[in-house]
Amino acid sequence: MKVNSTFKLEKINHRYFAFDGGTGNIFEISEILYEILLNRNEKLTEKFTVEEIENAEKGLLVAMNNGILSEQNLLLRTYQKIGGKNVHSLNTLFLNVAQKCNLKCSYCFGKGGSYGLQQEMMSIDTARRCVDYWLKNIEEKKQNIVVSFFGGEPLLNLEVIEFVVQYINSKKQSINGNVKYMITTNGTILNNSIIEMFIKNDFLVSVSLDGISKIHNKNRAFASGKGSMDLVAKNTKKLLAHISNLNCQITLRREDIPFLEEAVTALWEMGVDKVYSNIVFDKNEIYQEKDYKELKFQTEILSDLMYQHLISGSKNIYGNIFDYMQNLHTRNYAINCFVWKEKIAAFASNGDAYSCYRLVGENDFLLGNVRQHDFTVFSKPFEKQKVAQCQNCYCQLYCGEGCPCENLVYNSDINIPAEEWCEKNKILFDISLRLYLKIKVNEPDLFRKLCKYWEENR
Amino acid sequence: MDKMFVQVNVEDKEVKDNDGFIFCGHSDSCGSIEGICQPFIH
Repeated sequence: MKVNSTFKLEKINHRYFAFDGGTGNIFEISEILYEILLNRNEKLTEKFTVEEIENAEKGLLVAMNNGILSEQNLLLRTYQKIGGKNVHSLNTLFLNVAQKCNLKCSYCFGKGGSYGLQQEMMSIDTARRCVDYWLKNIEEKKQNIVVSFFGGEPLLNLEVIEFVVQYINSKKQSINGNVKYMITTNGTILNNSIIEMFIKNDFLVSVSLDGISKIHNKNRAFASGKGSMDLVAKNTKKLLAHISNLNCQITLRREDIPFLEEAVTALWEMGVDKVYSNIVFDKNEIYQEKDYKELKFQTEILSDLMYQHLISGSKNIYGNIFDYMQNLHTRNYAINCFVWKEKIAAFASNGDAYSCYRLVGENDFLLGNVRQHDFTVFSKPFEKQKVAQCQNCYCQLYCGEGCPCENLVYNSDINIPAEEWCEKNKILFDISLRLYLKIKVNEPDLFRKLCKYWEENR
Repeated sequence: MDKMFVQVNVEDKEVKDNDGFIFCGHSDSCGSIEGICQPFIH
């Protein structure tokens, strides 16, 4: 029987589920419907009567007429509906306050922090202009407004970060939403002033820390060649004693994927509750089938550990899966990619603006400079296109049909999804969906508690 | 039909714009923190 939308089926302890790839709905379904959707005719006739099968197929037709398993192109239509507002729609300010770095990481997508541009620090005057522009263009009624400091290593320019925080705080009364400060740091620079600023302004801090010395020191070294693990671990522990909003981010080269679980566990043991990871995207980083197999294997181990941790009440969370489960539960689709929507202003140190912080230094995506008289970030010509190869994929709503920046790296075209993107997203999607349903089936009280948390913190 | 499809996750009638909360769905690659995209490599 032909079904219009893409879907994914799961069976957990003799209970049956269908993820509707057209809408993001997750349904518990009957066994007979599961077999019909699997198209296993021999199983159907073995287990069910002709009458039962006919009734189930009639029910499926009615359901499809009511929007179940029948939706297509929702992602594209959603972008068309909510994109292109063109004015006053910003919610996030990214400031590349330091376009240089004190580390020489082997996998840096920002070319050592400079993004292939001049190594420089953002001046206070440029920062003020960026903030003023952002404040003038924040969409009204926004509840959460984000100011994110990045680089290079942003803490190399503490003076400007402190200025921006103080400047925005002085204008908070004219801002409707809650301002959330975020920073991603390599964790090598820390002093009491920094800690005080984080505490006082409730910063969400992400430390780039690869968990274990053998991969961290190999990939994240100072210019001298000395690994930074000891210093970053020491500073991370110091930060953990003062702030609760701290996450660590592990980055893995292809050859380091077998250490994912070990790295995440090491950070949990260090006291970091929420750990994220990612694999390097670089055109020279060519992933093979065995790498995806290993990534899946490692992620499955982490899923099992998470399951045990959630049951026991441990706070040790693997953020990639936990967040994905939340997004599956709340149907929070990947519809906010910066490149397709005018939601952020991402400024390089000299005031140049881009559609995404990952595109800094890419001339084709330069939107102008904040010092220009007629500067606007709302004039970009990027329009979401239908991606043919994604139309039959159940993961479409949650991978967003690829990351334009990764597409650019691997395929030199923001509209052509990179294979590595597809593979790693499907691995994470499949494992997250399965864990979500496993908790529902085996731990109903925990499931209710998690759902409540996810819904309240959407 | 009701018995055939029992909703598990939230049932939204309309796709929302996340009301200013950024989630690009790319949490395992571009380093999101709690759903908000972050640059990740220094």
